Amino acid sequence: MTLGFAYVIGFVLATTTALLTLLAANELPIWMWLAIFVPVLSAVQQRRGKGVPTWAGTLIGGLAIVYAAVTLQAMGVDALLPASSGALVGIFLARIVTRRTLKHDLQALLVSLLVVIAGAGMNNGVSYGASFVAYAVSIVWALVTRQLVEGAEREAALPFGAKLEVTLARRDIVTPVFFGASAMVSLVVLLSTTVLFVLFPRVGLGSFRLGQQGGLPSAVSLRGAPMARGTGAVVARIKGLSYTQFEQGLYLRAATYDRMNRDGFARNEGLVVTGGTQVARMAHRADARLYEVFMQPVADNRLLVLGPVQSITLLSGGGVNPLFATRQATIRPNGEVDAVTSAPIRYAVAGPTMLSAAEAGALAEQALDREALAPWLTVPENLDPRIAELAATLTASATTSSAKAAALRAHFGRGFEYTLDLPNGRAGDPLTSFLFEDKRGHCEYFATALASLLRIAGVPARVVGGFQGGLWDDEGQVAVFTADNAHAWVEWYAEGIGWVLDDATPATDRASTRLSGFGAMLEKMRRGWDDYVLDYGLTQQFEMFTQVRHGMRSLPVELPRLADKKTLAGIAACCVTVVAVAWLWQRRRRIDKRRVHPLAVVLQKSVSQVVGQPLAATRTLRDGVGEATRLLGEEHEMSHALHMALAVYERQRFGLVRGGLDDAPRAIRALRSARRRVSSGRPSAR
Amino acid sequence: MRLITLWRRIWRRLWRNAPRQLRFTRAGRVVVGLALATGFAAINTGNNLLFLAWGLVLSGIVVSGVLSELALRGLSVDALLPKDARARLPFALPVRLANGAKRFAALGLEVRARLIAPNGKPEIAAAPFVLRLSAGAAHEALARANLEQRGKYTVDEIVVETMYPFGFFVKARPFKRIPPPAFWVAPRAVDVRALAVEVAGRRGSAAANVPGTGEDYFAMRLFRTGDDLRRIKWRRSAKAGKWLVAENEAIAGHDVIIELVIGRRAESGDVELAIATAGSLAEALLERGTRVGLRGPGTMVPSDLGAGQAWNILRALAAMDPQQPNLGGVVGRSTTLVAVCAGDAAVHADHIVRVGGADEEQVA
Repeated sequence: MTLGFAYVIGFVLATTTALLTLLAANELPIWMWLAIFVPVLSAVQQRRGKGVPTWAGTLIGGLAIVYAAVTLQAMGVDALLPASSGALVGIFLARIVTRRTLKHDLQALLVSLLVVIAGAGMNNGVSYGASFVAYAVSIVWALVTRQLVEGAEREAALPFGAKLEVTLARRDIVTPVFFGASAMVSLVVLLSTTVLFVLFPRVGLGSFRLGQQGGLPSAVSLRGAPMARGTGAVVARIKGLSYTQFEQGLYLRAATYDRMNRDGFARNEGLVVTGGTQVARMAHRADARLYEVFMQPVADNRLLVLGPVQSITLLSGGGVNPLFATRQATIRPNGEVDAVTSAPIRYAVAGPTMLSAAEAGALAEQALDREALAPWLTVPENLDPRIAELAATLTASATTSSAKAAALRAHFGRGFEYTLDLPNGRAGDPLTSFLFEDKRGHCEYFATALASLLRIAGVPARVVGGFQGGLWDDEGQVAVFTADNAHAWVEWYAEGIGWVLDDATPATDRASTRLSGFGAMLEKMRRGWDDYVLDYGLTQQFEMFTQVRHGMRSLPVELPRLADKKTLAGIAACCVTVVAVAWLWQRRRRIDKRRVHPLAVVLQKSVSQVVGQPLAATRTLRDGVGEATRLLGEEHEMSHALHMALAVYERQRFGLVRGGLDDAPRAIRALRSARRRVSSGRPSAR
Repeated sequence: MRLITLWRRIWRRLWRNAPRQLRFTRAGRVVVGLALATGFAAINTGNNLLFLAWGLVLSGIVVSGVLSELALRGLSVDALLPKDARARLPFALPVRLANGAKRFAALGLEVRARLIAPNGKPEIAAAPFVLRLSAGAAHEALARANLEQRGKYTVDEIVVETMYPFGFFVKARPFKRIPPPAFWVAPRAVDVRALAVEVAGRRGSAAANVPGTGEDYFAMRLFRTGDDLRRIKWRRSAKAGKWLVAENEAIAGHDVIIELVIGRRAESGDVELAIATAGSLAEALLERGTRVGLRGPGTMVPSDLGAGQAWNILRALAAMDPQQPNLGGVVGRSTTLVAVCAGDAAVHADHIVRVGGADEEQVA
């Protein structure tokens, strides 16, 4: 491989993998994926000698900054990370397409490092890990070869220096040995990265936060995109459940939205903290269970739970520095659980799952305490009167809360359609538009509409945000929730029963899935990534050091136990193999060091075998072969093989003819087989 | 303040004598900045992926240090001192670079020789980039410079630098020898072709005391095959009973002694120009086959012929101290004295060449 080509390959790979670390987060618009073709196209253009004008780079960079400004304007400061990442990608591409000198290339490579660092904030999936490893390997390659190309450029600038094109076309620099050495350097870089990652104490200060914070918004709105967009990234895993329980449908509660307005439901923080203790009861099944949750910090200091919580224990993670973080979770009257979640967290929960509306229908209800439940019965004053008429019509024959809920839920089964499009995002009254005109929407539409109708019908109701459905991993016996499972549903209140879970969103979108094949493999990788990388913290560091300490202490005790015959035989075999490999390697090195032609070595051995003594240092191989032939006779097979090998050797060694290199291995093989035959079958010529 | 100055001095001395010297490139500064920023972000956010990225940046820095050390550790350097260095002419100091490492090739090497001029001013001679020096291989790099002054230069140190592998840092390994090797730089060359023609044309001639093609009788000798028969002295031959031929004496041009005379008020530039003129004139005359000698402040080189004599004279001029008094001596009749004067020195000579303020002057 020529030096120039090796460098281009390294540069393209490094920049492409850097882009992948960021784009794989799926936080940027899908069209930005086109960016990964830019390094290759730029390299092709450069090879053709056609440069991109500077104004094109300025345009790309400018557009990227405009994109960032527009994103910030539209989505607020929450979108700071995606917006700045988008701008960074644009600037990166601008540098790549307009690069003309090695200095520009170096700038692009340094920006690629910045892109990878930005990717760490945006993308915490296993895709980051894969891209990161590829990037680490390719950046080493790119930087090393760039350094050599820069040297070639400097040499070309000298009066008697070799021309740049000549040096770039040299094939003796990027040899297999160089390739192997670079691979070793990459390996060393990766290993030392791992060592630093493992050993650096996680005693953070927590002055600012970064990453997937506040994945659940402060309101469920009928005017925007779904509150939590699906990116496929795992947000939670639950251990301790059976598949049967999973199949019944799991709802991971995160936040409740109690205050109704014309656009949907919003959070009422005051109510969450102080109010509602009289009406805090949540309808639940009888089977209280203990389950363990691993959760990404997606719910803004809120823990995901399956229902009412009896007790909760924080196991690990959660804070930048677990030593300083409050190791307690607070259970709120509305069933929410608050804890510091600035980092992935793992906790154990004891408690039952929520009772579904169908199950609650069989239970007896009591009269509502309307005064205590007033916050959940309030509706905006200027609601379209048709909504009230609809609620009255639908619940005309229902007397209990569960009957009213069933009637209203049934209404959404007739002609309503689930879609992620925004059919009435610009409508003056989106709720009315959804109920009477479009009849299409995502889960937030259905939840808002059902909760609104319930309140109008006199049933206290609220919207709950969280995750629903999930994937079941048989191997790990784990229920996996991804961002795709983000969902909004309804809880309504029945006196004597409590808050009951209800969901009007068509069920086709919420089917539970069992992982298999590639999905299961991917989940296994993700789980490993989450357990050993994302969730790695001070606790794990303590555990690791403790284990190492215990291991060192117990070594004198454990070692004799291992000393059975099989183990000893295994150790002996390993030692013999290592010694043999080392001996062969050393031998090869000695030969290489002397720069002796391999055919000469075999010839020398063969002559020594025939003559019965080593070839004297003052004699040539031709002398040795002559003597061997005299002893064996001209017609002997060995003589023939020796002459053939000598001819090949002399042609290659002295003949200035580089062709016919394939003859050497053939001659070696022929000579060796002749030697074997001589030593085994026939008597020695002596 | 005094403490700070002292500390700076100590630090500079320690730095200069350190076995390795390190300095950042622009990319290196950016990488270190990124490392600091990423570390700050990682510690503050607790984001493990930032720790991972931080680990990558730090590993890059550490591995860069280790690999550059591997590239430099096995090297040995030897300067092959030049014998023909001239001031103000491109000068090359051959530096033999050998990689004694068993396995690792040294990549991306730059060689710089730090030379100390006679006035104590450092000069840098830089060699071309060595792309690759395989394990066990040697390479001769020519460190080039343009030296301003004549005199004795010492090779203070030879520094081998590498930015390998990533170009974040320039790591330098200085090689020093005690005592530092030294070489002489001859005075610069000036154009004296016209002057040399004139001096050679007017230097006069005398019998050379060897047989030749002159007109005066020199000696008799036995006839040898091939001698012109007309040269046989018949009467002497008859008397001696052998064939004898007469030989004439050769005529040779006068030796030239170049005397360098430095006036009391001569400016240093004029002195150097006078020295350079003397050297160049000697070279030009020697090239024309003239025997040339030199007299000057504290210096005397007897007349002789050939390229060796040219370097004797240039070497003497390189070492010449203009403050020394001129060495006296009698100039024979068969010698032409050419005085090269700087300043207002009063001198008697066959030719007087004044350099500096006045034009060249010749006195018969």
